[in-house]
Amino acid sequence: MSFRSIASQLNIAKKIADKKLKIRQEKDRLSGINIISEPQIDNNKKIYFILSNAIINYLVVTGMIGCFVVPFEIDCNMYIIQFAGIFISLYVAFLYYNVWVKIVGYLLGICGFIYGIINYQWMIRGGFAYIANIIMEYLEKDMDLPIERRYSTYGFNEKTAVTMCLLFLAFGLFLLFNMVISETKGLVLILLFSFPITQFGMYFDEGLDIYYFTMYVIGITSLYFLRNTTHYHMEYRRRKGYTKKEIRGKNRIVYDYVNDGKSTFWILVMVAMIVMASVFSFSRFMEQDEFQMDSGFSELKDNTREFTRQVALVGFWGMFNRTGQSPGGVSNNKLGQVNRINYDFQTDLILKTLRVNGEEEIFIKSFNGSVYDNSYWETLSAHQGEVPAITNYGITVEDTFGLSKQLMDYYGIGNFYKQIEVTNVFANENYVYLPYFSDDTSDALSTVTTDDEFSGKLQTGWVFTTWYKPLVGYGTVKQLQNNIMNLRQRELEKSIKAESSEDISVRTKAEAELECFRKEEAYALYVKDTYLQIPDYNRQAIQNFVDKYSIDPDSDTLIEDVVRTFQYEFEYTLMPGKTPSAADFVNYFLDETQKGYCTYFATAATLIYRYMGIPARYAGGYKLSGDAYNDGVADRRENAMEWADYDVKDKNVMKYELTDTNAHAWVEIYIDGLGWIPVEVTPYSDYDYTQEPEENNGGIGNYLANSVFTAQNMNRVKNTTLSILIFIFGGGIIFIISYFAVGIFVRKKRYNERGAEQRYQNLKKSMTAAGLLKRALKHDSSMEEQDIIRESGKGEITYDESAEILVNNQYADEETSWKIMKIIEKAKFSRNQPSDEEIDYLVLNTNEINKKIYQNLSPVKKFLFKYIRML
Amino acid sequence: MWGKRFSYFCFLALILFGLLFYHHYVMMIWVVILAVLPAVSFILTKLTVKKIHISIMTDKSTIGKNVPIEIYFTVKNGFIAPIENLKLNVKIFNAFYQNSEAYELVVPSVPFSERKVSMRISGKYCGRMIVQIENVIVEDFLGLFRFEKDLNVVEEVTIMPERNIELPQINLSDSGVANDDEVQYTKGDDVSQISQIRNYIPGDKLQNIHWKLSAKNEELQVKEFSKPYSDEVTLLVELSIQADKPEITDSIIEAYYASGKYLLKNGRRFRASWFNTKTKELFETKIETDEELDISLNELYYMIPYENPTLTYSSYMAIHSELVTTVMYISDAGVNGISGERYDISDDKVVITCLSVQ
Repeated sequence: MSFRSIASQLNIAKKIADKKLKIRQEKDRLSGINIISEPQIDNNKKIYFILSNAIINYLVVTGMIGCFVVPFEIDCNMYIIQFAGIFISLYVAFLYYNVWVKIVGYLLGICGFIYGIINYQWMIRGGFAYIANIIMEYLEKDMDLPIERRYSTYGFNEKTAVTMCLLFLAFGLFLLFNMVISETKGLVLILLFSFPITQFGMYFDEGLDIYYFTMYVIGITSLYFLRNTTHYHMEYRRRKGYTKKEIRGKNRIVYDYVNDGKSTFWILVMVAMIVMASVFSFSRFMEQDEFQMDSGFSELKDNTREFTRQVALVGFWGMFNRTGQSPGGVSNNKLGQVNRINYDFQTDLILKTLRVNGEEEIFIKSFNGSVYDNSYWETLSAHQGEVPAITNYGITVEDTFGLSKQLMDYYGIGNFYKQIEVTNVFANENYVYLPYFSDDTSDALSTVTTDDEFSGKLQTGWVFTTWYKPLVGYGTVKQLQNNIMNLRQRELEKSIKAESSEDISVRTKAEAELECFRKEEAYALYVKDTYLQIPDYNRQAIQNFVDKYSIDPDSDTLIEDVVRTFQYEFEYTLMPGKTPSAADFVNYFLDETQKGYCTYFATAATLIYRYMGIPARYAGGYKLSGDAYNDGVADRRENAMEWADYDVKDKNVMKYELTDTNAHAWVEIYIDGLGWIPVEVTPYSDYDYTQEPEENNGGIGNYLANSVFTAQNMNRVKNTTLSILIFIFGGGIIFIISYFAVGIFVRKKRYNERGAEQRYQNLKKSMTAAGLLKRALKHDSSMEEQDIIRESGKGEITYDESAEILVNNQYADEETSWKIMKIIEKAKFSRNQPSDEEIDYLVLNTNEINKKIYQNLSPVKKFLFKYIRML
Repeated sequence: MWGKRFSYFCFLALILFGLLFYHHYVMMIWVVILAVLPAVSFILTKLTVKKIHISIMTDKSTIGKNVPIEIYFTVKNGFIAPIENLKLNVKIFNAFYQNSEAYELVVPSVPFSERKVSMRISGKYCGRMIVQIENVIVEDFLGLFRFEKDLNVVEEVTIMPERNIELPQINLSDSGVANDDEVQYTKGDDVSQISQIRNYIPGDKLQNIHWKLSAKNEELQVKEFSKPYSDEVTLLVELSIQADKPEITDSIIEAYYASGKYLLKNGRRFRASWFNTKTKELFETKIETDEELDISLNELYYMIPYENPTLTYSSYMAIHSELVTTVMYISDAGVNGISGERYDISDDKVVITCLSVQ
């Protein structure tokens, strides 16, 4: 840096320094007292400071681990962890003894860490797996979370593996926490990292171990109070001993100490003693089991748990996916791939029909699953060649359609034959939607392709009308079967007798009836050959089910027994969780979870009935029942008389809007002599899932679920989130750039001021222009001048002699050299300091002179002048 | 203090919220702990304050100007509570000038132990340098409460002058009138006491006739004697002070001490005199040895300076209308109207004036 720039900075530094100096000098002059050195405190041993940090670290980490493992009964050796923790906490605390210990200590720590990872990684992973499995199992039960996932423990003993894993984690925690505790006593950071783990047991209302919790409280509370003291900074890194602060307004100087190890240690001891005494006293006064508290905030935690549960189930963005991930039972997707069902409550179908006394439900079938294969329900057409062909039994698929209705006519059962209109609003348009028992084949929609499929489809917006005869009030399935057989026998005998009647119409009718019976018999054989098959891998699970719940295959109420078992031993839920990819859907349901929705029960029941020798098949579609059936809207524009073949006086055609809450799956059982009838196997639930939940103004979880996480808000939230992220990211970049720019400017200014002040001081002391000049002249002085020096015996030339040399060597004119020397003498000897202008003049001219001298020097002297001068 | 209390309140509120949120036994315990801690801290610290003993010590009791001295502040805690912030309000000042700077020294104190804090200071002016702890403020180890205890612990250090002054030769014949005590010890006519020779005037005493000179001059000549002289000097010290120029008073004291040393070195006994503002009268003391000089300096250090720049002079002159000793008046060089011969002692702040004999 040239003297010119130094000169300008010197002015600023000089002014600042002069001002401060003047104030201080004035004070000192008036008081006559000089403080030579700042206070020194005796006996401040760093060891106490380090020990205090180690103790706090130990208490926090060990307390945290203890509070976590005890409530969840995680099997581990806490004695080893506590014992090892003492050494680890001391080790990491001593890293702050000094810089060399820190470097070596960290290196050793890293080596140890790597050694541990290499040799014990599988045990550690096994331990972590144990912990994770325990927690997940707990969450599944407590929060009804279908996590359904287990980590492999690699065959290690639980206690050993968990202890090793916790030691590994503890080492990392000790190291991290120690950094924060030793350097800044950072309470907030420590709390943020440690409290979520510590409070885990509290959150789930589990009892915490008072011993470990006390440790944790001592650690955190001590940390808080020590942070409050402001005397916690590490000495070697920042200030030492005492710091000085002038409080101008109060005319006072404060000397405050940076830290004191003994004081820190004693504060820790006092806090520990008081905390332990308080805990001991309070626990005598009230045991943990006796504690009860009731406040208006009791629902707060439950609401957050519900919210957490929902987020855990579907993730954050899944909260917006209210339409769910599967349309329930109306599908032939792979079973068990849905975590939960979310209803959208949009209208799928609109039904119009008359309500019949005794008809408690209307099943609208769209899908039949005939072959169960690898968690799929598939139709017969997917297994051609594997299942018998219906034509082998002397009948066609067209023969089978409407058979049940014809038989009901012959038996004289089912007094109501009525019309139903189905409009597809938003339902799956790959299917037809037919009630039980219809024989209407006039519509192309009703074209049967196989025994369990129709070729037609009801597309969105189309309306389909058909007539059907509901079967109402038949008691148990066995009773129905017996009744049907009796009726069949009766009708068969009558038809045989009528076959020989002379009346052609009677004879024709009898022949038709007999043909119907013959078809039914053939179909029954076909059904028994086709609809009793179950995969071998399901047999054991079904047998286990039968054995566990003592299902009697010969019981007259076999069908109802299975339904009852499901009702009382299984759980209905819309959030059953995913079936693991390696597990079978039915086996997993029967053996592991025992919970699900209609698809689960219908699938399992189908296979169970088949196992028991009852032909059954899976059916899906919509079901209208209960309050939904009773709460239709009367459509008074329709003439009810046209909708039925029976007396419908005072009745209205009712309109029903079916949503996805009405989507359903059930079992079809084959009744000999009649055909397939629907059997409801899904347990009844108290919760009415068909009702759209009302807005709940209490409870954060419900509020968020119903008002925030809606499909409408989804895009808005996504866009807002994106905008916020862009804003934060962009703002962050701008801030960083500005910060560095300002920082560079400020730092440069401060550096210049500081540097200038420092250089000013140095310049005044040793690097004066006079000194430079004299040295330069020394280097360049001719033999004659050297003789002058030697003769004078002084070894140094005077300022006047210097001025003479300058003139003689034409480095400066007389006036300039004289002025320079005068200024130098003034600076050195006079009580009046040179003015700013004089300093400017001095440095400017000496700079020029130095340059001239420098140019004339030999290379060696140039080197000496340039580098040795700077020393 | 209020910041710490607010912070504690926030911490307590956070734990209370935790209790309401978790409804758990351990959170209740934590709330109880946070309620108990301040109460216990308050009681223990209050008891500890009574058992705290603070003292000041210096490694030297007398020093020269600008000589460093080590001051030790000792805090002894005789009870069980640690004190994180023990704030000593310290004042260090020169007794003459009372211009003090206040220092607040924060010291930690652990139970049943003694802590020492040392500081190095020096004094620029001679006099008594006083280190005083007015009071102490004690904060409990939680930083929530404050207790104040008045102390008034004081330690003094004497700062001696260090200047050497060469006083000019004092002419004994002009030294002035002896007092009665000295007259009775004078024997005969000492020619050194003749002030002048004149012609005989009828009525002159015959014993005063200078016969030799009369014979020579063939005329009667009479000896006229000066009054018997005294070899005592009085150093009159003007202890005035200007608040913004303490150097002047310091120079005056230095000049006095240096003058006294010089006189004693040259075998001259002297008196020191200054105005005592406590007794409101002029103080005089005889000094014949170095020890007496030091004692007088010590006396001087306990004087309270005054603003009137000629108080001592006027008080002295009021009592001694006729000067019988050599009076060296040491005063501020800016003081005018004092008749006498001024001696240059190479100090532009102080002047020594030899007051004229009346």
